[in-house]
Amino acid sequence: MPAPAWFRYGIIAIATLMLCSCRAMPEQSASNVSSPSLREAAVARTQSVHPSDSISPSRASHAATQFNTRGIDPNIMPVVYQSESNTPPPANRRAEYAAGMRAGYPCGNGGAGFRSGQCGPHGCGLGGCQPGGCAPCSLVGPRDEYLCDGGDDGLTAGVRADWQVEGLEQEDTIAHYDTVDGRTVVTPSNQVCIYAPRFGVVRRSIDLHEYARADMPGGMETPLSLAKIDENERATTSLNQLEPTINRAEDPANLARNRNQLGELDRTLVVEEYDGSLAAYADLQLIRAGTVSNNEKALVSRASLAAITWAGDQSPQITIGEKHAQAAISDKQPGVLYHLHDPKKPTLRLVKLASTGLANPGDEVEFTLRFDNIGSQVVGNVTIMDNLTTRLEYVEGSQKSSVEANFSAQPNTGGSVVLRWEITEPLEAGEGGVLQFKCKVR
Amino acid sequence: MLVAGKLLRAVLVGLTCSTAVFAQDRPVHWYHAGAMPPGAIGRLRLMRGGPLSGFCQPVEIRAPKGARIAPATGSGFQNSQPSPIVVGLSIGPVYRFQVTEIPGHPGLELFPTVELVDRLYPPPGQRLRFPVPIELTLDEILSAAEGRFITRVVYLEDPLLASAIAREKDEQPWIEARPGEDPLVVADHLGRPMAILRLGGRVPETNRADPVFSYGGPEPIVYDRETVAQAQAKLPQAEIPQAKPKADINAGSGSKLGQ
Repeated sequence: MPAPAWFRYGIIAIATLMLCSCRAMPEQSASNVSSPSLREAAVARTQSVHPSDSISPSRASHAATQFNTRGIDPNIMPVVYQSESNTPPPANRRAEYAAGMRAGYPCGNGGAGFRSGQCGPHGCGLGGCQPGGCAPCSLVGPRDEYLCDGGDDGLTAGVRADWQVEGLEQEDTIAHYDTVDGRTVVTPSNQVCIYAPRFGVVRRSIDLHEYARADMPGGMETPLSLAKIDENERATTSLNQLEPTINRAEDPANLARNRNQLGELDRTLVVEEYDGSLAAYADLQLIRAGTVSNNEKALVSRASLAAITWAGDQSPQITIGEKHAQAAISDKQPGVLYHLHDPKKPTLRLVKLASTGLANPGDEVEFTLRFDNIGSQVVGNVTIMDNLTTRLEYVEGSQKSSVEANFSAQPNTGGSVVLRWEITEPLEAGEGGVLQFKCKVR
Repeated sequence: MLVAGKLLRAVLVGLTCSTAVFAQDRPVHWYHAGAMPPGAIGRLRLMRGGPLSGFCQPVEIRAPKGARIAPATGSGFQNSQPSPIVVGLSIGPVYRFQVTEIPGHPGLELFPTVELVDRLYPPPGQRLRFPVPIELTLDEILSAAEGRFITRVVYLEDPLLASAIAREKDEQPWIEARPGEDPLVVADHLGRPMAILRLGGRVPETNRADPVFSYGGPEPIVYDRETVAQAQAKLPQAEIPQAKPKADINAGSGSKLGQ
């Protein structure tokens, strides 16, 4: 007997709902608020005041609607925008996307505005993206030979009302800041990769005797001569079968016998002092002053440092008076107009670079983070976080900051630490700073 | 009703297919076994394709300090060299080595084999800086001398699964495969198997003219010790060009660098 019609239609409706529910997430992830709870938290946050909120872009003075519009208002550009997302860019921002001038975030792998198809020196920095996934195009060989840090892989990072950052996985490096119109924006850095393969061993030790076969005689015949010739008796067969012992020398598994404990490294590390100066790899105009110099392109590129403004090879590179120019398009004139001021668009650029692209276990690597307010408005509560990957061990006391900041290092789930700098003063437009720290490769 | 029935079937078929996992299979060795004859796993790995055939992968073979290592050359062995040595091996063949002058055990000699099953992809010019390390510990050498057969599968750790244990460059911790476990499968779970070392079990004929003993493999390239030392001593910072003389960091941003 066939099932009733209402049952069939019910099945079809449930199946359609299940299929459609898989498509709902990307649009949501295009906003800063990655979950309903986060969005509610953001609304609630308007009622509270930040502990260090004495700076001009005060959250408390903004209405809840400011936060509600973060993911909906087409005039507010999502910080996290993926070109392959189902959500098209806002109409009035398409020119900027087309010109590649935004500090967008092309895929889960690279921040600081790298676009699809660009390749960097150490690969991860420029993260070439393929439809359906991001494979760093200039990594030579498989990803498992590299130690990467930076960007915002996996879940998109977001900030809760209680200033707790969610979605900051290992290898992620982000900055979040408040704008004068009450938004909290999360910006990832670019990703730097260091070639540092590490090897392990699985051992098996067996006793070859367990496979030895002992061939014993099947029987033994001993004819006995008796006193009476006519009473011959046959000897009984004597069997002496011995079986080889199996597995007699198999030791029980003993996992990780050779494991070292943390904290036993007593080696004194001689830390070079860079008081008021930068190491050669970071001694660039971009790091010192935050401005882009054309003659440093190659140096920047080789140091795994890249951002869309100077690394784009498919779009015009426009700077006006050594300042980053914005692109705009209008139906009143042909072409793209580049200009310096764009209200409602505070932007923080976070650039990361490593002192080397190669490292063996035990080597030290220095990381430099350069942050700049390249927008036209002051931003406040700038917080920069770097969740170090398992194989990077932060060298205690090695961090430096060019601006006043509260630094903390908290353990993370992977056995490393999360580094956090809270910049105490608001950043005016055009201002920036440099953070440096050292890590030992495990 | 007929249309609804067909639609229902189509939806159910679609649902069944949509749950399929589209992820590609990782190229693992789970269909192989660590107990396969030497050379079989490397040859099967070559059949899976990739830029492997003909590639010369530097491998560093370390024995206890003071021991000497000599690669096989068809029917004999090359002149032995003090440990460690760096040799260039191909994927597929089986290479036999002779380990002699083991400290504290004069007269003891062993003939381990090495089978390479994958390669590294270092940046250009850095092959010798990152060889695949194969370690022969004294403990295992003595165990093999007593008749045990030791298989060591060297694998490249997945950085996302790596343990947070600091180690120096020459340290190579190991885990023991449980009884009944295949070390190759365990290594596949933990990373990417690179090489298989087999130690113990066979000794050559007295005249050492048995090409079967060396599996008929090609003669490995033995890298010059000085060349290897130069390649490995190169400072990583040298890869980055010097930009300019040191300058004040806060030309555009504020205060001086400080703790």
